[in-house]
Amino acid sequence: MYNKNAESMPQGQIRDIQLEGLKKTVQRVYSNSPYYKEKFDAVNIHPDDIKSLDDLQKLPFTEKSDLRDTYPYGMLSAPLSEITRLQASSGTTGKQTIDCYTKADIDAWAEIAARSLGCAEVDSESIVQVCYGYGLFTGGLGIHYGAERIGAMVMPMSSGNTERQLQMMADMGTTHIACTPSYASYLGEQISQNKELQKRIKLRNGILGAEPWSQELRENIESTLGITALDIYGLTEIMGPGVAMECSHKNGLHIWEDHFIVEIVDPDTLEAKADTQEGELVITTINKEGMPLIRYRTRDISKIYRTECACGRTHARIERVKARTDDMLIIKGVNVYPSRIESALLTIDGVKPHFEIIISRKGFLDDLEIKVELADDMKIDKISAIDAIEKQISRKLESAIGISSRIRLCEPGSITRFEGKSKRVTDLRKDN
Amino acid sequence: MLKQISIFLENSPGRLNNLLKALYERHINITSLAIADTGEYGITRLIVTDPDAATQALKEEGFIVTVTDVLAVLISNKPGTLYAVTKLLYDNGVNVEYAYSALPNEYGKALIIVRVDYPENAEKALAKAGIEMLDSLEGPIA
Repeated sequence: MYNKNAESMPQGQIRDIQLEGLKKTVQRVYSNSPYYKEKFDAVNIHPDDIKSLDDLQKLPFTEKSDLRDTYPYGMLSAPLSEITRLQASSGTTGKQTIDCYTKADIDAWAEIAARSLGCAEVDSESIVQVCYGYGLFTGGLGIHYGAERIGAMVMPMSSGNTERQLQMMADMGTTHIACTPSYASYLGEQISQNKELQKRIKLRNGILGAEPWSQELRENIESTLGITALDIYGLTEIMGPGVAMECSHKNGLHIWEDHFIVEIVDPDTLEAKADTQEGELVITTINKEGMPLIRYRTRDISKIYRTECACGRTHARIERVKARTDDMLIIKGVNVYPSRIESALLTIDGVKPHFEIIISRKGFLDDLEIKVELADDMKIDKISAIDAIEKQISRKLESAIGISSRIRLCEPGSITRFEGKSKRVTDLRKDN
Repeated sequence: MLKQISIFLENSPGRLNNLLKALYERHINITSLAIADTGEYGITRLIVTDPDAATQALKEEGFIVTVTDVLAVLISNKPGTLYAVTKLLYDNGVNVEYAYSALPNEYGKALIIVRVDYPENAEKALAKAGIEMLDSLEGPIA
């Protein structure tokens, strides 16, 4: 553990810190952010009303749309003079959202990122190759600061230039790689095609995140890269990568509760759900100065585990985010998550985890086409073999997502590989 | 029997061109070609001078390649000779999956490539009836 005292403190002590942090944060946003003052006044809540952690329930939610409505600086609870850093979301789901950090926020972020990297056994001996983009995206700098805090050697590669990534990985003896799961699977594909290179790779663990991914993709990455692939969670609005991280026991991601309070709510009714029920993850920051957020709706579907973890960390765990409500597609009236398609495809022999989803409208009907890439060791001599593969894929997908689709088989290597977050969906219906 | 190589291709511009380029660059000659297509995909079947080299070359280029044993039947270019072959196969319970003819060749006969469900049975039946078949594209006729 990077910070054994903090990571394994008794739950009672965590609750004390949380109550203290919640009171402080509510007071801070009420006094400094006109947006929050107005919002609290509207429901007749005053910072003095927060006397226990249960009082969190009285507070209004913060939505992604609130961040957009107050863009750029309307959510700040610190004067710009105290802000030392700006980061912005990659804008995968619409207009970009930003986060502003004070010096203390940057310090706290490095702390939680260091703890998270510690979950993947990063220590001062480690060589950490960061292939997340550096810049406004939190991925690169977030991991960078965390690894540096631990005293590991950081390789600030940023994203792209796969050939160089592989060369450096082999030459420098990279032990840990931080990137998106889709890029990790691409690197794995490249390495498994080059036996000479494969021998020189010393990777041990992967710190993978920034997009939802499936258990099946994890297994694919672990076998092609020869690593333990661990999931890191974070979002720009809250901080960046390191909000939560999986340990080697892979039974959920430890969320650093002395910095964040997590809840699970029903995304439709916003009613609180029991921790162990699946629902939308809601996060309150309790140690931020620049842009603290109260009950922020993450749009990520998860649940919370509070049982003990064998690693000794006492902080609650959130289930791996397999789906983001923002990613949800409604096709033929049915809710479809791209991650479900990925996990179904990975159970089929002869198919690679590269795919494209194209949705269009024919007349009044939605049409779902899925381009699937075939593995190069497939045996196809007859048209009937093609039909059989298409039918098999189509059946598996229909049972996974509940609707039928047209399968389009593609030659090996023909579907785009992604260096950062993958973009697998083309929805042509919006133009109609 | 001959080794045939089948290549899965997406039915889009340039794909066949890329395939043939890969073979040309390795000086591999094609003696027979047949394409089966479904609109979206095609399967290109080839008889080439060096099927092992061709298979390796195409795999390196990322093509999906399948090697299949096929009968290579040499018959006179006269009415009824191919019928005699199919009748023999039918009488012996062998199903023809597909067949195509090869380019004019040095043997002065028609060369027909036939893929069947039971190649060994078919070969035995045809040999017994005195039908000539090729085991390779060079050397004496089997």
